[in-house]
Amino acid sequence: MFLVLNLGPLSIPLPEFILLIGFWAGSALSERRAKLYYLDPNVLEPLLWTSLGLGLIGARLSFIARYPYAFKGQLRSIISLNPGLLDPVGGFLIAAFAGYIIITRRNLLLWTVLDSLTPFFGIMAAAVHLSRFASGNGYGSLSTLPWAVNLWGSNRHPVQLYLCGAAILTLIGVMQISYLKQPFPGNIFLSFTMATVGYFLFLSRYQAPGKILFEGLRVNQIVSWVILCFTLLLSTLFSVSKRRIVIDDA
Amino acid sequence: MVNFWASWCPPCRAEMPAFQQIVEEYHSTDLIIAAVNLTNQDSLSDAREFINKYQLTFPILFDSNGSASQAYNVYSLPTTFFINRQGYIQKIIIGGPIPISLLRVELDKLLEEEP
Repeated sequence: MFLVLNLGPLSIPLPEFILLIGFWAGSALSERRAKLYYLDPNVLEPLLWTSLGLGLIGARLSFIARYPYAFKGQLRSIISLNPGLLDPVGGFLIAAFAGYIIITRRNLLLWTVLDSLTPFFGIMAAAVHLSRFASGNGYGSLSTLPWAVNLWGSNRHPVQLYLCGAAILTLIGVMQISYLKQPFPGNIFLSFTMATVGYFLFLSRYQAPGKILFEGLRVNQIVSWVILCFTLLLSTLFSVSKRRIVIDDA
Repeated sequence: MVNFWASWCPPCRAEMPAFQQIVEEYHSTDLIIAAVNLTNQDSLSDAREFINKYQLTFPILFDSNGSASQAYNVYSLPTTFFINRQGYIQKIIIGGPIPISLLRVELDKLLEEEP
């Protein structure tokens, strides 16, 4: 674990710092590549920052909704700056919903915006895994391999680093295909999602046992399979409808 | 729960009343709170004065040679470790003050584990 980065008199919380750097680098890269999709780069920055702001508020509200008893007699905690009082899943869902509302109200094409934001998602995926390695969260299963890391009293797979490496490779792959002619809008985003879920399903076998829903099946694996099936379905539907348009035109 | 603190550290001072409140709220559970004073970086008399002023009833340990803070790799104050029944660190919170709400959520997670 690398929880703190000591720079002179400053002690910077490294996991949060990595996420901040990831957000900045991801948004900068997406803005630079927006022209590939005929999008105004100035549209993406407010979209990301507004979604982030609303996502943070949503994460706090979601945390309060999950643990209302914790705030009994402690209403001041609702506005505490402590990031521990945030629910990441609730925050992500609310940020995604806020982003969708902004995109539709500005009459932007949803799938084109998602394609242009894919480098942002790619860098954020790598940053999240690296941040989890720094914080020790989402740690790996027991291992005797020479590169195993000692955590919580045992040698374990550095699974967050495996996931970070896979995220970087996926990002490079997606950046390469983005220069090619796309069969339909959303192809880059859907390909990225499928690759991300694919490597997660493969590498999650090295994670320490998490919440198990049925016998042997973990919650995050089930969610991954659902996302993979949904993405494949969307991709097939878009591909078929594009082919129909081409045949009709002919 | 193990907390590292010093009397000259403002967030450490700010979160101590919350720990005392938690001790009182969770008195019927298996929760143990230990606050380790970094005495090698603090004044023993100031630390004692602080403990008396806030009437802290949980165990306060004095790390006079810095060996405990070295063993726990404490780089900044306050640092709080949440340790489960098996003795494994489950969460580390660096900085403070930790809100009581967060303490309740994290401690309940640990106490829910099977003994």
